[in-house]
Amino acid sequence: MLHHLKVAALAAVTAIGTLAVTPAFAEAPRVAVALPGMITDRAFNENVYNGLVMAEEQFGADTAYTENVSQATQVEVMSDYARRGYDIVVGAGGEYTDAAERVAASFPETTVIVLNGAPTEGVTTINYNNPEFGYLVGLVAGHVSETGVAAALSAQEFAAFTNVVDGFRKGFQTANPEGEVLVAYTNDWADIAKAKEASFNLISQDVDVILPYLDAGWVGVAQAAEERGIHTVGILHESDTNLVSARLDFARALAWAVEKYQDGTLEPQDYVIHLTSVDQLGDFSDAVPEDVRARALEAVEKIKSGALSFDTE
Amino acid sequence: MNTGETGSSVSPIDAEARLQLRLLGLVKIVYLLKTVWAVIAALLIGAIFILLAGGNPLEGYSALFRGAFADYWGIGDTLVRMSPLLLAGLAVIIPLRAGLFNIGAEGQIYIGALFATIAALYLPDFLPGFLRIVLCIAVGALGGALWAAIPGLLKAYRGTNEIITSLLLSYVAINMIGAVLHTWLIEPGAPYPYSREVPEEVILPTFMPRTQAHVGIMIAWVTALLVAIMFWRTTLGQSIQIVGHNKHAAAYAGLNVKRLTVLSFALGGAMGGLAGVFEVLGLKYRLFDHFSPGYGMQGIIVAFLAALNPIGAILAAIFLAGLQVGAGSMQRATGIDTTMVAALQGLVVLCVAMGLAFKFHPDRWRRRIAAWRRDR
Amino acid sequence: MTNAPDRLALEGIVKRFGAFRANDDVNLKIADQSIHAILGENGAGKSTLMNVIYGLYTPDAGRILSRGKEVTIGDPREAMALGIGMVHQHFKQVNTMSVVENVVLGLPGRQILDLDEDRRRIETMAAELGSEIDPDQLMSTLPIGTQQRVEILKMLYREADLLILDEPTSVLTPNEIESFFKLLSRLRESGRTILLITHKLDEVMDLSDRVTVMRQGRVEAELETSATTPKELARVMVGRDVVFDVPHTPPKVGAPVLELDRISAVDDRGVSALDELSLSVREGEILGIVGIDGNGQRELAETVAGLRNLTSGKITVSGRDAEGYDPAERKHKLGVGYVPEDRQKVGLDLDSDVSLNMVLRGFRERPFAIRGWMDYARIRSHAEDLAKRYDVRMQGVSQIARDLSGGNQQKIILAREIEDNPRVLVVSQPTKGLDVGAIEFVQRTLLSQRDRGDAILYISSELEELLLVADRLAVIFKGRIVGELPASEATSEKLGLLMTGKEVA
Repeated sequence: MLHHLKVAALAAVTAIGTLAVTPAFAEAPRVAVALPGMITDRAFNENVYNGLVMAEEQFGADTAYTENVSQATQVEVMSDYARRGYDIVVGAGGEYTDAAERVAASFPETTVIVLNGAPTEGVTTINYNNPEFGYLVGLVAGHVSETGVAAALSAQEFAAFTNVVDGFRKGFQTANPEGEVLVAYTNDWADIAKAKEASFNLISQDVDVILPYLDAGWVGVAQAAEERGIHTVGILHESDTNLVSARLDFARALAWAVEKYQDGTLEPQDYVIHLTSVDQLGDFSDAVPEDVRARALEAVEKIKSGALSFDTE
Repeated sequence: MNTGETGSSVSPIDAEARLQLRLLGLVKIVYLLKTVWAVIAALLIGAIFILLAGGNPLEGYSALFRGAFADYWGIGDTLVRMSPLLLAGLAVIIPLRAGLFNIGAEGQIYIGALFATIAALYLPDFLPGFLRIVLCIAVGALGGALWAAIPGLLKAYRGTNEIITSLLLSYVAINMIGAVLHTWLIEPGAPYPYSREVPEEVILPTFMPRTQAHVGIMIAWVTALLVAIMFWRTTLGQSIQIVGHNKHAAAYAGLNVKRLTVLSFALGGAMGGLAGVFEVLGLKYRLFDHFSPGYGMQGIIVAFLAALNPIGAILAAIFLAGLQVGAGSMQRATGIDTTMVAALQGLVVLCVAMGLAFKFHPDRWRRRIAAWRRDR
Repeated sequence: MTNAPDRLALEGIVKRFGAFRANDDVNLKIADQSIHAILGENGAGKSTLMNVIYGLYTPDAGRILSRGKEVTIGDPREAMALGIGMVHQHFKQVNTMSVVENVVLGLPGRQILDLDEDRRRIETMAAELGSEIDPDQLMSTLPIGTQQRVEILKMLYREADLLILDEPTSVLTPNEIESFFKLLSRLRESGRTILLITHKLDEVMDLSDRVTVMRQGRVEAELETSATTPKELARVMVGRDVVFDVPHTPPKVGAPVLELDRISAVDDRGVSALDELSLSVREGEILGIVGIDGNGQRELAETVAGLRNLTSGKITVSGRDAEGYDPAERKHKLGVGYVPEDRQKVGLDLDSDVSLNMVLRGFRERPFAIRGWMDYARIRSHAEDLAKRYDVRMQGVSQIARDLSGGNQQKIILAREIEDNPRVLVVSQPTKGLDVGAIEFVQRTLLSQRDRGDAILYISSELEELLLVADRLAVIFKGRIVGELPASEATSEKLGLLMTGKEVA
C-alpha cells in the first residue's frame, strides 16, 4: 500500500538549482517546522516531516517540529523557535505566509521558509508548479475515466489548490474533450469520514476518478474509491487506488532548502519546482494501459522542454 | 431541615460544640476549594501519563510553567491566548446566568471578526484611527450580538431549544465566513483564504514590546469586570439572574422574560463578537478562514471552571491559556508531545466535573466530626 | 395497656445538629396495628425523627426497639428489613416508567425480570386495598392520588408492615383525601401499622388511634385521640391557646374597587378557562371565591394580577383600566397585591436571598434601585424591618429563601404584597401546607388589611376557611360566577350544590 521507500528513493534528482558539490563544513543547522496537522497523516504533514528526517540524516540537522499549529498560534510557535535559536523556521503551508512575514521581520537572523507560500518580502517560499502536476494526473485520469467525469476534493478553496485544479482540468480535457471536472470542499483537512462522505456524493454524480488534496482526509477518499470500485490520482498521497501519482514532494523540497542553506545560497525569494523528471511520478496502476503510460511520460518531457507551460496567476 | 429555626433555638453552646462547629467550617473551606484540588489531581494523573510516555513530569511541568508564566515571551503568548478564551467564557456565562446555554460562541466569534474586518477595510480613511478602532470594536460586538440574538429570539418566541440552534448556527457562521472570503474578501493571489490586511491605523497597539500582547487583552479584562459589576450591582444583572432561577417568579416580578432571554443571549454574543474583533485587529490583522481553533467551545470550559463568575473567568482563562502556551514550549523544550496537554486539559475538565459531585453535606460532616471527637 | 410488645418504640432519642437539638429525649410507643399520628408545627422535629426511624440519620443517643427487640438502623435498607417503609411527601418514582416497573425497581436479588407475575400480584394487592391500578400505565399519566397509592403499594410489596407517611394529604384533593382515609383504615384492618406525620388537626382527629404532639424537638404530649379535642391538640402543638374563631367584625364596605366585566381567558393549553366572568370587590370586604379546583380559579387570579392576558372583557381597578399594565406595574401603579397559589414556583425566587425576595416585585424601582443601580444596603434594611414586623424566622436576611419553612416563605410574600398598602389584594390558597400557627397569622393579617380598606379577593379550596374569613362568597363553576351570597347565609350544602353547577332555589 505504501510507497514510502519508493518516494524516498526518488530523492536523487531535483529540477531546480545546482547541486552543491560538497556539503559545507558549517556547523549542523537547526531546523524547526510548524505543521498544520499530524505527522501521521500519510500525506502532506508526513511528507514535510520526512523532509525534516532527511535533513537530519543527510546534513546532521538538529530538528524540531510542532503539530496541529492553529491559525492563532502560528506567530507564537514560529517566534518561539526563532527565539530558541533555530536557524531555519518553516511554516508548512500557504496559510503561514502572513505569520512568516512577521516572524521574518522580527528575527532577521532567522531564515523563514514557507512551503506553498505566496512570494513575500523577507521570506523564502518554495512552490511546486501546481498546474503541471495537476495536468499530469488529469491526463491519465482522462484516458482511464469511463464516465468522463472526474473530481478534485480539498478542504478549502485557495490559490495552490485552484492552480492544481486548472491543470487537472486541462489534462483531463486533453484526454477527453467532453470531460467534466467537479470541485468539492470538506472544510476539514483531517476528517476521514467527511472526506469519504463527500467522495460518495461525488461518485453519485458519475465521478470515477478523484484527486484528493487533503491531509489525513485522503484516507476517506481512498476508502470510498475502493468500496465503489473507482480510481484516485495523487499529488499529495500514495494509495492502491491511485492510477498514478505526481507527488508534490515537500520532503525533497525541504531537504533541498536545508542543503542550500548549508551552502549559503538560500535566498529570501520564491523558488518554483517543476515537473521535469519521470522520477517524480509514482507507479502506474494496472488499470492504466501502456499507451496512456507512454503519453504521460511524453507529457513530462514536454513540460521539461518548455513545450507545455502553465500560468499560475 | 431545621435551618429556619436554628437561629431561634436557645440551647447552651458548650466549648466542644463550638470546636466542632469550627472544624465543620474548615471542612467547608476544603469543599469550597474543590476546583483547586481537581486541578491538582488532574496534574498528578497527567504526571503519570508523562511518565508512561517516557518523559520526566517534573521537568515537563516546570518547562510548561516557565513557558507560560515565567518568561517574558511566554507571558505575552499566554495573554494573547487568554483574550479570546476569556471573552468566549463570558459569552457562555451571561446567558447561562439566565438559564440559557450558548453553545454557539464559536459562530459569534466568527461573525464578530467578519463585521470588524469589513468595518476595518471599508471605513473611510479620513476618520481618525482611534475612532475607527472604536467603530470596528462596536460593529464586531454588534455582529456577535445579532448572531446570538437569533437563537435568543427563537427560544423566547418559538420555544426552540437554544442549545441546538446556537450550536448549528456556528457551522453556518464558519461556512459563511469561508464563502465570503472566497467570493469577496479574499486577497488576490493569497496562498490561503484570507482577506487583505486591515489598515495600519486600526491595528491595536501592543503593550508588551516585541510580543503580540495587544490592548484587546486589557479591554477583555475590563469587560469581565463590567460584567461582574452588572451581575453584582445592576437591576439588569439581577433581572437576568432571576430569570435564570425561575421564569415564573420573574414574570410575577414584572420582568419581561422574553426580552431578557434575547438580551442575555445578545450580550453573550457581543462578548463572542469582541473575541473575534481582537483576533483580527490585535493578532492576525486579516480575516483568516478557520482562524479560531475552537475558542467558542473552550469558552464553555472557562465558564465551567469559573463557576459562572466573571472574575473567576479571568483566572480560568489565564490558566487554560497558560496550559496551552506552556504545552507548546514544553514540547519544544523537552519533546513531550503537545497531545499530552490536550489530554491534560481534558483531565482538568473531567476532574472538575467529578469535583462537582462532591457536595458539602453539613449534616454528614457533623456526624463524622462528632464521632471522631468521641473516639478521642 | 397491652401485653403484646409495641410495633416500634423509641426511648430517649437525641439528634443534634451542632448545638441545635432537633430531637431532644424523644420517647414514642407505637402499638401494633394502629394508626399513630405525630403532630407538630413545621420545624418541630417530626421529619428528623422519621429520618432517624428510617435510618437516614443516626441518633446521638437513645434506643430503638422493634417488636421489643433493640435494633440499630443504619440505612433505609436495614429499615426495610425490619418491615419499615416510608412514603415521602415528594414521591421517589420514575415518571417515564410504568407502575409495575416502578414497584419492582430496586428490588434486590433480581437478575431476570418476569413482570407478568408482578403484574398479577400488584393487581391483587391493589384490589385488596380497594383500588384499581393498571400495572402497565405510565406513572406520569396517573393522578397524584393514584401515584401515592403506587408508592404505598411499593412499600407493601417489600413486605413493610409499618408505613411512615409524611404529610400524605398535602398533595391530595378533597375527594382524594376521603378515599385515602378509607385506604388507611383498610391497611390497619389488614394488620399494618401506620405512622402518620401531619400538622393537620382534623386528620389526626378523624384517623388516628393515638397521637404524639411534638414541639421544638420534644414530645409535648402523647394522647389517646378519643380522649382529646382539636383545641387541646392545637394548644399543645403551638404552646399557647389558638383562637379558631378569628375575630370577625362586620365589614365597613365602601365603593367597588376591583371590577371584572365579562372577562374571558384561556388556560395554558389554550382551552377556555374564564367565560365572561363578572364580579366586583368593594373597599373593605373580603370576597371569597368558592369552587372545585380547576374551574378557573387560577386563571382568575392570574388575569387580575396581570400574569395572563384577557381574550375579552375588561378589568378595572378604582375605575382605571388595567389593560397594558404588567404584574409589577399593577402592583405599584394600580395597587394590586397578589399572593400566588404556588409560592415556591411563582411567589418567590427560591434561589435568591430573603432580602431580594422582600422586594422581588419592586427591586428595579426607587428607592431600592436608582437608574439601574441596586441599593443593597437599603434592600437589606428594608427586609430586616419587614422580617421583624411579620415575624419571619430565619438566620438572617441573606439566607436563601429555599431554606425557609413554608410558613416563613408565605410570610415573606404577605409582607411584600401588603407592605405598600394595596387597594386590591388577590390571595390564592394562602394557607395551603401551613401549620395552624401560620394559618392563624395569615388570616389575621388579611382581616386587618380588610379593616384598613383593602378589597380582598380570597381564592381557596378550603371551604371552612372561606366561611370563617370571607364577608361575601362567590361560587365559580366552569369559568363563570354561578352564585353570590353573604357568608352569613352560606351553608356547606348550599355551596356544595352551586359548586357542582346546580341551581339553588
